[in-house]
Amino acid sequence: MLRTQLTQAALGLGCVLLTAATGPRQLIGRDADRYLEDDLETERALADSVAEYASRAPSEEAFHTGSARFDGEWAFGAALMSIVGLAQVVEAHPELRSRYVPAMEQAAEHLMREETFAFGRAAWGEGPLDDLQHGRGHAYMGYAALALGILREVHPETRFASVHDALVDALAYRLEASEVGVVETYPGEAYPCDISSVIAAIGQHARLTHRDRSALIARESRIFRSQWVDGESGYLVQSIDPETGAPRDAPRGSGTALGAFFWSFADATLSADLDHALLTQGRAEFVGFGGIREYGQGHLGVGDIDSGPVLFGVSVSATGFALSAARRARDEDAFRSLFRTAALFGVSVSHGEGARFVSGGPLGNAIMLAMLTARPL
Amino acid sequence: MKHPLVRLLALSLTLIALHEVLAFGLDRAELIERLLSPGDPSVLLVLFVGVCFYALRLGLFFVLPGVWLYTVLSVLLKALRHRREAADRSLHAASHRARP
Repeated sequence: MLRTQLTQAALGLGCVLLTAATGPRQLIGRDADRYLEDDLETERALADSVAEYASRAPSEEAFHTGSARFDGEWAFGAALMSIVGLAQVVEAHPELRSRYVPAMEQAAEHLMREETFAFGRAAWGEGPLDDLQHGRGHAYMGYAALALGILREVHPETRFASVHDALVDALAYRLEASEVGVVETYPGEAYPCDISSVIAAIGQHARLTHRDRSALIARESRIFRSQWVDGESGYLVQSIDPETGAPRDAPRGSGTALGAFFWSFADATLSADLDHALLTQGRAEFVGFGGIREYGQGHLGVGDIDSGPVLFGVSVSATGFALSAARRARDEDAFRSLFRTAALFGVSVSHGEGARFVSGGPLGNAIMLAMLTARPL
Repeated sequence: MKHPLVRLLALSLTLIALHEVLAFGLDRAELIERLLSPGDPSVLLVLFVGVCFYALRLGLFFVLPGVWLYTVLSVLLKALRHRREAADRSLHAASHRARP
């Protein structure tokens, strides 16, 4: 009797293990190939949801983390990622231009509102647009400048063209003026990922306006490679000393994955090297579900607001941002396995003609759209 | 009592329906916005429902297919055993009849 029960239990366990190892990968994330192929219906469904969030004009009131800085940063991030994602969809499907340009303009409107920068004003004592010619810091404005440039590519008539020019000039001046190639995000705080966004904005603007910024970009690329790209893991360090440029934090997957995305606008080779590090050294996989390790080899940590939760060494942010790395690198296997994880925990639901990730919210869905539709190098 | 496969089918359909209802419910409830709002009085309820939803989702994709395989195999093995026992019985009866 006992033997029969034990046999049945072993058979049951074997069945569950066998199907768990082979089944879910077939059932979850089947849209991955549609994103790889830039399928119109699939991309439009997610873009419609992001456009709807953008037209709601997500304000600081949409987030209530308890930290005014994080609330503002996240609202800021949602607006800029909406512009990036929608522009990429328009680039793949030019016929959708008129459908999404209004939402992109609305997101830019929100992005450039004085209230949006309250978190930066609180940190610096002045707004990022108050003294463009002589000011310093505000590296987070690299994100805004890049978003405005991307909007301008899709919609050259945008009223934000002149502020875009002024912003990029100011950021380029601040970068050139720093002996160690650093623009601070907040006083005493500097992050290579944010500096990458500044360089992305400069590179994208140079291409758009036929300006030559190649010397500045090459200089920054050398600084990144020699000081902030970890030799062991190939990851970017997360935080640096703004005075000396010395690393202050471990090499981290979340900053690397977003940094690689930004570098794709300025230096394709550095971007590809960061992508390679993420998709080889950083990649973890379990029964077909992929993730990206948050910490470079030899480093341990529990993550923070940048990484999101870190489970078994894999972080939510690094995994989500690395979808764009897999797309740029045309690593279809990596893309599919990362997408399965995103689909398992993101949970896509349809509503009308749109679709969105339940656990995404305005920021998560905008990031997913931007990463899932990132353009190959 | 109903056939085990019918019972499992009913259970599976119920769980799938519950999964869909919870997914749409959490989407409507704006799961992330609420979780990011510690001052919101409904945050604990949404968190509880969210945890239940993910437990259900993991169970549906990672455990239920195994339960199906086990149940199908059990039914097949049981049918095979019954058939063999019936064959044994008829063989036994035939040999009993053939005995002088």
